[in-house]
Amino acid sequence: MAAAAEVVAVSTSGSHLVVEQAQSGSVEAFERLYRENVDRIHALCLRMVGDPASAEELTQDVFVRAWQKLDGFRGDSQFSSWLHRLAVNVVLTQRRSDGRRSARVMISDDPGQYDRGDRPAPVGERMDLEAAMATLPEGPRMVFVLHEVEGYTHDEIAEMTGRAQGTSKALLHRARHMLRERLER
Amino acid sequence: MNCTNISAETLNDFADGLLSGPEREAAERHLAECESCRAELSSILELRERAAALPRSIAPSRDLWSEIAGRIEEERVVALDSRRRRRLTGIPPVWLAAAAALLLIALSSGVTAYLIGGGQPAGTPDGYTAAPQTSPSASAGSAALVAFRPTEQEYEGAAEELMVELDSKRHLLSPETVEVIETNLRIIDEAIAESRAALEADPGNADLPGQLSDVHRKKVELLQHAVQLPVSI
Repeated sequence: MAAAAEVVAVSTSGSHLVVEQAQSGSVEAFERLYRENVDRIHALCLRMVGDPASAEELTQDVFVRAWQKLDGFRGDSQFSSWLHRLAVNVVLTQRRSDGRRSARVMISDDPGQYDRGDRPAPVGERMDLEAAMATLPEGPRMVFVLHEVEGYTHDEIAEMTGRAQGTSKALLHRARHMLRERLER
Repeated sequence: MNCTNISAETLNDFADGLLSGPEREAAERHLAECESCRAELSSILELRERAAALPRSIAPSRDLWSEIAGRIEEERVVALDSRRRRRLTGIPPVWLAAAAALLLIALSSGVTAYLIGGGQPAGTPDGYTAAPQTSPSASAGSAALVAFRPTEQEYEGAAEELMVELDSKRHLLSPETVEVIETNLRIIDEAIAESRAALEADPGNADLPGQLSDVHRKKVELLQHAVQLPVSI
């Protein structure tokens, strides 16, 4: 399902030319790339980390990183797809280096531990899916976002997270179970 | 899950189309007989559909560009400073003075364009803003740039021809001279970008097309000076 990870560019008017201009050092061109892609990248960051303030910081990090790595874009895919993959790596790397407990247990080989670490969901209030996703522990949430929302395959998720495909599947199943419980309350 | 005849993992894999052959057939046979598992499968599929239907884009609460641009600029300044530490020798004093003058003019044009444009975020002192705000007049701003485009293309064409000529003799110039030329070209290109952004943000400002023309003209003048420089033999 690699095709699902291909993001359709918001604007195709001379996108490759704009990328080339940005690669040549044009900040104006890079700003255009930012404006074409920021909402998409922010959505990814927000859902992966579940916190608006962190999501905005990470969104900035993604674009700064993209500026630094622009030469690495070879044009063999859509720029938006390249940027999206870079964003996933930035988020995962940031969470790994974060000293918080949630980063340490982010992608674990023991999905069962997430029974003990998730945030309590509000009782007596029907949750929407976005709110329910934000209450998931980080590991299951990230895999759910990458697989169910963003369309990455388990192979791709495994490659990005450095974990086994089986772990990715187990975390996804766990996320689905938790979400269904919370959405049905 | 109430049924013990099929694992949750198998049910999820079935929902994801990951089963094949005998394994898939066995699951299909079981689902045909088990209402509990069919309900479970339906629940999984519904969740998948809801997730897939979520909006792919969510705008941040504010425009993040100014901070991103600031961080990018910090990196560019650091990179430029590291190159400026190299000693510049053998550059005619007249050329250095001309380059410095062009640098100053280019920077002034960029700052002036924004001051005239009046694009100031709330609560900030007079100054230039790096982030043109999206506004209802965005189409008017684009139209202003489109209207200026024929003039801009003439300048760009002239600059391009001079760049080709400069490239042909670049290897005959000293590295220090090349660095000064490239530095000034980058600064002028930024000034052009800033002037364009100012025009797009404030299309009703009659001074801005002239500002943009001035910066383009200065780029052409810089390139004309550069191609006329004496070369090393």
